Formats: sequence, structure tokens, C-alpha cells
Amino acid sequence: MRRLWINIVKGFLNLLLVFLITTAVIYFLARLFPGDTITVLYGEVNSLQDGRRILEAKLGLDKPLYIQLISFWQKILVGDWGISIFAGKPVFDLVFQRYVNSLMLSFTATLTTTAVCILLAYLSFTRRCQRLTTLVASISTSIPAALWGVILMVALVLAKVSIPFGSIIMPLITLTIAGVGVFYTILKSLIDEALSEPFMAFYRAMGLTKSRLFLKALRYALPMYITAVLYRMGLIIAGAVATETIFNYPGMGKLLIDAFASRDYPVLLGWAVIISLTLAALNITGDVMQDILDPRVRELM
Amino acid sequence: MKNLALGASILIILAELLLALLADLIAPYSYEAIDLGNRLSPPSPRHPLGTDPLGRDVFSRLIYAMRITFIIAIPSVLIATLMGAAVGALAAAAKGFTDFVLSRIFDVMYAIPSFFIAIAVLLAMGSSVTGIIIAISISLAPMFFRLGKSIARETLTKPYVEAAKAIGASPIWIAFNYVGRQLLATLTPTAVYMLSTAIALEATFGIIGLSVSPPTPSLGNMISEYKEYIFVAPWLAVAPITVIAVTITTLNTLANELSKRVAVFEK
Repeated sequence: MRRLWINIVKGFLNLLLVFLITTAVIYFLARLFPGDTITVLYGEVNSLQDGRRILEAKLGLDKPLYIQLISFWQKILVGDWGISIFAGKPVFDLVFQRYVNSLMLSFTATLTTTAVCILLAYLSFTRRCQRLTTLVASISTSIPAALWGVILMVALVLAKVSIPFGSIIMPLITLTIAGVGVFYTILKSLIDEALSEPFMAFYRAMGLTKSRLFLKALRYALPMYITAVLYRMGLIIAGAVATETIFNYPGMGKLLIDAFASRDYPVLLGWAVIISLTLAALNITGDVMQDILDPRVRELM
Repeated sequence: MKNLALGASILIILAELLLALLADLIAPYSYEAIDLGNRLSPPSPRHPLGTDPLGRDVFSRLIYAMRITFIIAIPSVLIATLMGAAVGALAAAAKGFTDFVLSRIFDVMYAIPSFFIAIAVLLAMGSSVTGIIIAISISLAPMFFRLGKSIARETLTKPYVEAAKAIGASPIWIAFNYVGRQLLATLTPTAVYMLSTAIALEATFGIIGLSVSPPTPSLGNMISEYKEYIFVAPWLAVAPITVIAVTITTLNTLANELSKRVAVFEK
């Protein structure tokens, strides 16, 4: 139990550190870009230097960078995430909506991918068709997710099915196909590890059926698998940029591209805050879950 | 059978490299020769892979695209490997404060999704070949840093290094003769594997419109250009996708075979 708390506290400190550094890095990175907010927003207002200065003061862009950064951190903590320079809406609402969409996508994609992987692992265990399942996995990894999206589009066009742009279905299928390879490799190696353990030999000797044996091995593999998968889930939330763009799905990835294109700093920072917190939180959850699901880890302390 | 996989993958990669190298001699047309009277024609003897929306020969563009993709992928992996491994080995050798600082820097690079940094760099530097190379190497470097550090640290504890120290070998000798060679052996398969990751990254940048700007063809921007036409000419997108899939599969097989051979050495 003590270890659990130590883990949680450690996790929160880590979360805070990552949050501070990530936002700072992005804050400075964003300013290195050619084309500043004022120009993007109001066009060239160089002729009206005064007007420019008033706008800068209004948006708080006239103070030194580090002061802007500190006041930004303060505001985030009290829940004031600022207003999107471009859309004129509160950043929190804007980012949150996209976040929920992305969360849904990554969660369902992880579930479907895991289901497919368990099925594949089951088949390779009971039916001895390891060659086939390995082939499926290697085909899945040999093409990046975004390309699977394009391939799906071509396939749908050839099959004369209309493509549902903007809905979750296409990105979900794309991410599932692209994810199976990696997830299956993780699950398979964990199950193989389980199979070489003495307790499996014991179950075999008890005369359990193949499917019961598989369940036992799966039970052994799951804690590590979940830890590995949780982090990847975070990466999907942040990194399904191309998949979301292809199918026009309003998630975090597309938001990132749009915010960068319009130099919308408040939105960019809101994005960075949510993503860094999510990644760190998933990391902690992974550790804690492992503690809960795997009694041996607890006993180590 | 094992040698077959190794031989075949080396052959395919060499063939692709040769095609890319000799693009000027092999490509039947220039990659920017526009022929508006001959747009979107399906594959034919004159145009083996058909022509694109501007009447350019897809086969020629594909060969030049392979060249650009290699020009991007190979330096990015080399830079990432050298940077990551050298700094990682330095961190392992220096220990203490230097190690702490270097590790934290790479931790942050690890914590921020590499895609974000890559996109930031691309938007800041513009989508030139240099910009893309930098973006990809930044995405790959943290991985090499961790690997380089752990390999160097392990090597430094080996008895033969102790022995070398005992007979008065200089740190530079140890760095090159032992740590350097170990790094070379272990990182080569990883670098080959990362080459396929670099190609995948370029393709992904291409699809969101951040790869090399047209008319220069790259595998990524060809896909993004041609996916707009899948309703009229679905075969257009198939060509670059096939090349990418074949290249990535081959590189992964090669990396696999290489790492098996390195593993044999270490036993």
C-alpha cells in the first residue's frame, strides 16, 4: 500500500514537471515562427504602429516572454485558459470539445485493437497458425497509420461505398488496422513468456483445455500489456494528426495543425497543457494499475 | 532460408538506391514535364504507371520521389544516430551532473510527443529538405540517446575495459576501440529499423501537407496530391503507397536479420 502512495505522489510531481517544461518549451517555440499573431490576425498593420502597439497590449504580447509565461501558468491554475485569438471563443471549451472526441477515438481504437489482438493470439495458440498471425502483424506494421487511411479510402472508392467523412468510424478502423501489429507483438511476447513459466506447465498437467490455458496465460500477460497500451493510447490522442486530417475528424490532432497554421497561441498552449497532463496521467495510471493487477509488484517493496 | 531473407532485402534496398541514384538516366520523362493534353491517363506502355492530373509521368515522378525520400531519410537517421549515441555515451562516461542534465533534456524531448516538435520545426523552418531532415532527426534522437547511454554504460563495466584501463589505455582509446565498436554493432540494426520509421514519418508529413513543396516529388507529397483524385484515378495513389510499403517491410526484415546476427556475436 505504501508503494502505491509513493507511486502516486511521484507521479504527480512528474506530472507537474512535465507540464511546466512542456508549456514553457512550446511557448518559446511558438514565438520563433515567422509571422506573428498580429499579422496573421489583422493583416499587415505596420503602417499603424500605434494600432499595433494597442493590439499587443490588449493581448498581453508587449511584456517580456518570461512574464507572459508566468502569468499564463497562474491563469491555467485558476481555470482561465484565455480566449482563442482566432475563434474568439474560450480556449477551454474549444480544446475540451476536441479532447473528448480524441479521447473517444483513442479509447475505442485501443479496445478494438486489443480485441483483435486477443483473437489473433488465441488463434495462434490453439490453432497453430502462428505463421499467419505473424504475417498479419507484420503487414499491419509495414504501413504507417496515415497510409492505411489512404488505402482504406481507395478501397472504399473501388467498392463504390461512400466515405463517411467527419465520423469516428473511418479513423477508428484505420487506427485499429495500423495498431494491431504493435499491440500484437507486445501481447504475443507476454503470452510466450507466460507459457514458459512453471505454473503453465502445472495447468497443463492438470489437463486444462487449450482455451482455459489461454485464459490463464492472458491473465498473466494483461497487467504488463495494459501498462504498455495506456501510453500508446496517449500517443493516439496527441498523434493521430494525419488520420484525423484525412477523414476530417475534429480531434486534437487536427486542432494542432489548425492552431499552428493560424498562430493561435492560446489554443496551442491549451493543447500542450491537456496533452502533457494526459500523457503523464496515463503513465501514472499505468504504474498504479500494474500495482493493483499484479500482486507480485506490490510484494517487491 | 535465413540468408535468403537477408540477401533478398539487401538486394531490394540496393536496387531502390540504384534507381534513386540513377534517376536522371532511368526516368523516361522529367518529373515536372507537364502535358495537359494527356491528363490522368491510365497505365499504358508509354506511361507504365499512367499520368497524373497535370499529365506528368507517374513512373518518373516515383523514381525522383524515391531519391528525395532517401535524401531525407538517410541523413536524418545518421544525424539522430550520431547525436543520440554520442551524447548518450558521453552521459554514461561523464556520470554525475552532466549525465543528469543531458538525461533531463532528452526526457523532456521524450515527454513531448515527437510529432508536436516535428510539426513545430516544420512550420518554423518551412518545408524544405533541411527542415524535414531536422524534424525527423529530432523525433528519433531521444530513442538513440537512451540506447546509446545504456549500451555505453554496460560496456564500461566489462572486464576487458577494466583490463585495458589497468594496462594504461587512454580514455580516447577506450572510447573508440571498445565503446565505439560496441555502439556500432548494436546500433546498426536499430538505425536500419529507424530508416523505415523516417520514411513513414516523411509520408505522414506529406499527407498533412508538410513535406517538400511541389513540384519536387517525394513519396509523401505524391500521396497527398494523388489522394485528392481517388474518385477519378484511384491507381495514382497506389503506386507511391506500394513503394513505401515494400521499402518499409524490406528495411524491417533487414533490421531483424542484422540484429539476429549481432545477437549471435554477443553470446
